[in-house]
Amino acid sequence: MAEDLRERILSYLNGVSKAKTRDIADALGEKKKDVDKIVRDLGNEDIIEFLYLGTSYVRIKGKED
Amino acid sequence: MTERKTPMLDELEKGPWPSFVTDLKRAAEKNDSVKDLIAQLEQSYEEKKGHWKHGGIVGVRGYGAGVIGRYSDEPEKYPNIAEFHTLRINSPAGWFYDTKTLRNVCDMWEEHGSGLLNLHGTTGDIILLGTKTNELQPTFDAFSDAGFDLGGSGSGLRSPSACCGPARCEWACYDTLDVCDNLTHEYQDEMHRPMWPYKFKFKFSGCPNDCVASIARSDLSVIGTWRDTLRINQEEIKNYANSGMDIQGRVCEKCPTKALTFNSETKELFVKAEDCTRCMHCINVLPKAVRPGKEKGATLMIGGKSTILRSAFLSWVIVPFMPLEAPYTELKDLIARIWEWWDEHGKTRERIGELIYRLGMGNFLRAVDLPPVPQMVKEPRANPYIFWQADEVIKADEATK
Repeated sequence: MAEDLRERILSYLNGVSKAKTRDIADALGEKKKDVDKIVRDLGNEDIIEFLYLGTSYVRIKGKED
Repeated sequence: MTERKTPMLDELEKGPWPSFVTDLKRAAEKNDSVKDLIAQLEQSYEEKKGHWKHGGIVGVRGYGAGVIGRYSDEPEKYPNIAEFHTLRINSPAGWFYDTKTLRNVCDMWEEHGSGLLNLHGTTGDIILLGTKTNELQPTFDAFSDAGFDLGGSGSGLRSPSACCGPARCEWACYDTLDVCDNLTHEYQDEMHRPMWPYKFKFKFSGCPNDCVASIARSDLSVIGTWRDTLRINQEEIKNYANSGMDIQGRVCEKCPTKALTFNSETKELFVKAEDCTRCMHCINVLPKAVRPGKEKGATLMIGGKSTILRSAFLSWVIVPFMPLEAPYTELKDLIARIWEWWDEHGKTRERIGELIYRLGMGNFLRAVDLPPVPQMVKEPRANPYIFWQADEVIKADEATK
């Protein structure tokens, strides 16, 4: 289940320039808490990066707009 | 490099007070980025316009917070500050250091950055001002090896901060240092992986003097207080009176609720416990004679913040008294409920105080399972506006059944 959600999160992030974890959770119909946990792991693995533009977003590392 | 003239900054060196300009000029002797910093600041003063670009993607591996991107908008003119990022280093609770540690901080920062420090800004953190992108990870590694960690930034938990508490102050009603340290360790994810609508701050003050200004500067203010009554040493009151202290004028008449009375014949001070709002005025004026009560804990308040979506708010009482003993389970349970509600309902860049303002204190209290009590007022003599829900009202005929 977690593996499936991880793939869906990555797929979502690949389709957008940046997102808040709330947006990801809403788009995937998942609990934000579960999305936060996987996003945190993706950050630790250096797959995603955090970006601050008035508020904090995440995006696939190195992905341009 | 040709020295640039800085007539406007030079003005700030005149007068009796120490000047940051003098400090910058001294630092510029060792670091070219500070020379450019001075020149850009002079230009900003001339044009009445800032020349920093803020934000973007800068950070260290695994962290979404603690590094704030800063770029000059005139990099060709000021190449040494084209990148001038800020790092926040989480400071020890109560801001206690030994001199060896401070020297080490300065040495590491001179090696990796501009050498300019800010101790301690409104965040409470050690602020390292100005380094290049490729120096971020080496700086973090050096500080990490020395036992430091990054602080919070962005839309996450900011570094909790506390007054010096029981380490130096006899008025502390709980161990501010221990709570601050405990919660900092507990909430590493919330601090370093910013995933919320916006920022959230804790500040811990040991007594109502509120030396860290938690009521104005934190979303969850934890302010020490006592549940029983002031302790008054009548012998010391007599000593104050005999030394010429105007107790009636300086203490009783300044008491905001007129809870104190002074008998000038017997030279005794009395308190009406139920009228005392624990403002600390009498204790501050008569520290040898008046002390907080014995049953100590904290008042929790919510919603303090500066102007963002709405105007500046002072925080609002949500728990008049909570005993604070490690492992702080009751406090952490409440924090979890507060964050869950805010994260669920908060709009982007909406602080918890603004969300409560938008949806109402009644909805907030129901969501976090706190009973309304009379102390929940935004300011003295304000109506708390907590209304009963229809299903909570027991009608007279039902009550008599």
